Amino acid sequence: MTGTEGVAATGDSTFDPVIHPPHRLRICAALEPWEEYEFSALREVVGVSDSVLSKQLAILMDARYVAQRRATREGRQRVSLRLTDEGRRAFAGHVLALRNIVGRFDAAVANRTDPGVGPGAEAIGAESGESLSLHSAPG
Amino acid sequence: METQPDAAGARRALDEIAQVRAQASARQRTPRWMWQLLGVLSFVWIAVLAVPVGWNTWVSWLALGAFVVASSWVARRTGFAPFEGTRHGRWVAAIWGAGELAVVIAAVVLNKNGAGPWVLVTAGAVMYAGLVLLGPLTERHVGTPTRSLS
Repeated sequence: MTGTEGVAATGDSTFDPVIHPPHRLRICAALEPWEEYEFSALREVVGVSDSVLSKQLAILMDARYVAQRRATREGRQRVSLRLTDEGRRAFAGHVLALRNIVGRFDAAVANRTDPGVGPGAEAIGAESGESLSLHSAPG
Repeated sequence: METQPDAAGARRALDEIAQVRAQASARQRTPRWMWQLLGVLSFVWIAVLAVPVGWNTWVSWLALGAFVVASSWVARRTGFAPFEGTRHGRWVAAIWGAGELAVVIAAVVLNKNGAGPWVLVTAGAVMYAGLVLLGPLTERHVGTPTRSLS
């Protein structure tokens, strides 16, 4: 069992540049198993300040991946966040795309017969034709 | 074309996702001692009806009130399954609540029909076991181990 087995692996495998930056990836990963998650709890899990979290959430909300709900409970205003259906699809597709990248690379390394070239090779020729920059800048 | 840096970056991202999911889940999982507390209070609530002072007095209401207050406190603090706000949690709440209610009603009816106080004590034990043994099981889906996804 792996930690992302719970992520629905249906649909397209699409690398999503909106989701991939580290903070947004963490936000989506934290929200995905739940219908709703409170802002303060999310801030702790993601490990960022209120302002950083708000900024990243705004980007995800602009993309319609995250929705928020405000409610007053115990006399205090609480903000609950959730991944929309669109957000869940995009996140599942993104996870699938990551798995595919790892899987294709591992398969290519495993199939390599030339002992002179190890996994440290610059590039492994694969059928995908996509080349993705995974060294994204924070946020 | 997949490069090694691409694959390493994807691995890191998958590990990151697994870690965050584990953190997010662990934060909302109910500690075992809280299940024990709720189990004991539910046992007391039912079992107190087995003694004469438990009927038609403030004692049983106090016991019930303690259980309700403790449940609310635990739910607010950790959001255990029936209160976690998910579809799964609502199903757990509905099935569990119906089951516990049935146990209590059956025990009271049997007791009133002369079955003896042991019925209430047994019902209390069932309530305790339901919370302490089955409670954590309802949150099994919440936890995910943190390990490499590669």
